Amino acid sequence: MGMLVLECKPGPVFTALNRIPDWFLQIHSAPLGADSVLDVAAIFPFIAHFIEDAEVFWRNPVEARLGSGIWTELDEQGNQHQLEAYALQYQNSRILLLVDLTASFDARHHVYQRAREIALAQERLVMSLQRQQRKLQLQIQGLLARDESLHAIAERVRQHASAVMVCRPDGSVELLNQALMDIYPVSGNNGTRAEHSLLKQWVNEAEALYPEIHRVIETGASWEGEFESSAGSDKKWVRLLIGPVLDQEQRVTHLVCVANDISGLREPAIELERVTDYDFTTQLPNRRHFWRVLTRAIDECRASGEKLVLLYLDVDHFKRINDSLDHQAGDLLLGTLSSRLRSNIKKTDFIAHLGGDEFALMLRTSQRTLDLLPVAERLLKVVRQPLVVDGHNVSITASLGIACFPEHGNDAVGLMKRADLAMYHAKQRGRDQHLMFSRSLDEAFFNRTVIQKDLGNALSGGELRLVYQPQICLGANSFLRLEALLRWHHPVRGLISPAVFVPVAEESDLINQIGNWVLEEACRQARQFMDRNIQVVMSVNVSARQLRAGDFVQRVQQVLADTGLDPSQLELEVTETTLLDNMETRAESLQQLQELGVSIALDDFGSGFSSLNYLKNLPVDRLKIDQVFIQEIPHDEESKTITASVVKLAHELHMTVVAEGVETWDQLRFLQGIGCDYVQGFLLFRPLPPEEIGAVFASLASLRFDS
Amino acid sequence: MVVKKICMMGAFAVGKTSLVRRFVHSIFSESYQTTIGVMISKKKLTLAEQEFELIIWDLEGRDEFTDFRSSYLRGVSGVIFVVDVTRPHTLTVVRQLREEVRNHIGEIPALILLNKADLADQWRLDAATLELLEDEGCTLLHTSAKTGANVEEGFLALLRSMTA
Repeated sequence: MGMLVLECKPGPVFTALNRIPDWFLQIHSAPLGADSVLDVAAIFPFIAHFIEDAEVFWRNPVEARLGSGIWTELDEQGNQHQLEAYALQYQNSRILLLVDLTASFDARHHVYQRAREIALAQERLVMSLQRQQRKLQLQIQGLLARDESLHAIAERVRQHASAVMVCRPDGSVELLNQALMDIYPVSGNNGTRAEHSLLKQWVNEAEALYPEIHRVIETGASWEGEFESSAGSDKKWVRLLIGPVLDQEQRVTHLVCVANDISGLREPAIELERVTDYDFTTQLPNRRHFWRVLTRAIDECRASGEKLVLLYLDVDHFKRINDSLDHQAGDLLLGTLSSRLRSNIKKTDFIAHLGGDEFALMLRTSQRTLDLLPVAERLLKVVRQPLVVDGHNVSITASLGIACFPEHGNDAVGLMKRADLAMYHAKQRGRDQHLMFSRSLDEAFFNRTVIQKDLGNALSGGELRLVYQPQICLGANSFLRLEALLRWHHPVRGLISPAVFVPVAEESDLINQIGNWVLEEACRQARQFMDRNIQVVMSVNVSARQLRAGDFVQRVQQVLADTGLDPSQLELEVTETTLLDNMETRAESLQQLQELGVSIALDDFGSGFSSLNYLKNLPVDRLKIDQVFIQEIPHDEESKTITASVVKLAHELHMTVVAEGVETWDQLRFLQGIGCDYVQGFLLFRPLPPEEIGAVFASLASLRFDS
Repeated sequence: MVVKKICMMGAFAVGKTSLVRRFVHSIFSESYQTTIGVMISKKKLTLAEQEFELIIWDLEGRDEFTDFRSSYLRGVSGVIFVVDVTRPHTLTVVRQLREEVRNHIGEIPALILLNKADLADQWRLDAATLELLEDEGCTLLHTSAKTGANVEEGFLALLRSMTA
């Protein structure tokens, strides 16, 4: 753990809130005071001074945190530790975080070192330029003073690398050379309008940085400086030296101007690099930094024959966890996670926070075969360790994708793509697991890409259609309940399972288009059944994306109005996971739909995060028990108990229950015995085309299951 | 023992850390190692039979990427400003820093070390500016962390002015 969390009480007295980290004990091994009290001000003189600023911050925390800046301490063995302190206000507690940055300091130091070496080299170049400019200016001054002809002087400076302009004090040009024309788009050398204004332009431009320039030039003294100058449509940084030529009466006869374009020496890239190389929350190198290191490492491995392993880690359901915590707690979680990951890799390995909940780790080895399983297991295990954040126990897991150089990718882009793909498949397989990239994943990915592309045309090409599976009432109800199910007849591939294409559609906006079409088509069909005296309640599945759309309630209202279907004959099925990303807002939408008269069913109940607690707060009319439980009936006692409990609970909450996936008579009898309201499954009816529904309705009119 | 905090200030790469290392550990390295943040060192000294512990705050070199943190000056008893005699710009930086220190904590004992004095052939400082500083009452001292010339004398001179 790289962080020591201290609470500051009046005094100030600091109490450790977490286990004292090893680095701290290396610096200060004396035993703790009573109640974990630490005299940090005495241990760290640096902190003693920071506390005064922290006190001001705690009284009025205008920002999220106050940083002390980095400082270096020597431990008892003479090792350097780079530390930084942060003052935070957290639930009215005054918190002081001490963070050990030593692990990532080398990389950070390298960047600063490089930046300053470059700045130093540039400073020396400018100094050298300054000497050259002065020398040239003195030469020209000397020639003018000896009445050398302007033509002869022009010849001498014609090909000089520095730009030269000799002008009268009023700015009218006497001569200029090619280098000047290379910087400024001026033409000729006989005092054209553009040339005339160049001195004035320089003076005006330099004035912002050097207000004294007018005075210096007017009094016949030399001036030099660096400023930004307009050169045609460009802006350039220019180093300019202006030297006067005086006559015997000390009047200025000419001005010798020597200029150089120094734009290249003033690149802001170094500053950008410093600002953007590290992520504050985790104190880890950021994506940009990682990308650079990965690219360099691949080049080195290519030369040395080493193997490089890239691990791409993504926290499962992070958004949901983060939304349930406040912003600072989310940051704390990521910070803790990064500390855990960092402490579980070797010093020579590299870890970066790519942003959000994504981390990347890079391992290099000269071994031809490396057993990555223990490494991956260890990383997932440390992620799983329980955390207490914001007073809550938080359980997190992560999915990990692995790709190796050179087997899985020959460059940084390819390798990252493969590791990301493996991570994606690890998530698809249920999360909290790792997966090594393999060619079959690429194939699966390719298939998904093709499906996504073709699905875009399926709707307009009339390749989608609906079938309807009856839900049979085990009591007395004259309405036939139907669930609308989507089918895709691909012109080349034939029938494609919804289990294949619906998840693909759900990853894009296609699910909205398709979902809207399903709603309209099902309602239209229900209205047609009603017109034929077939009394139905049409059940339509709704995706999370559809429900998230701000206008979903209005859309349903519009469809009902357009098709003339009574709202009581429409049921919308949502899953638990659809609701979990923002339970409160989703519940509001469902409430509005219920107020329209539409009924709501909770699909796949029991398969997800099943919290019975939230059920009583949700506007739900029906529960659909997940078929996993039904399939294990009657052999599995646990499934029977769960199913019976769900039915009982639902009835207590005034909900009815649908059991889906009913395939045997034993299952049907059991469900009938526990009072389940509706059953759905292949035992009774497969999904049917609309033209067969009439016959079903007729046959059911005389059929009763309660006898 | 009397504890005194002093700060080392100046542009980057002028030799602040080298001066401290020479003074505290009697070592010197030619290679430039930039400082990030603050490096704190301690050195015990005896002056006029009084024992002192100097807490030396070696502050990250001033450049366009570094903010001036006035909090670093809290409780400081004296400041050593360091100039690289081969880089005129570093003298400009010291003049700015001196002004900022004055604005934040007023007049305190200070010393300007003209470092890298062993590179006499590359001397680039403007004599008029140095004269101006002397006229303003600044104490200037030529030092070389490389040869050790005047390093200890510099720290002692500051300590003397702090205890005067």
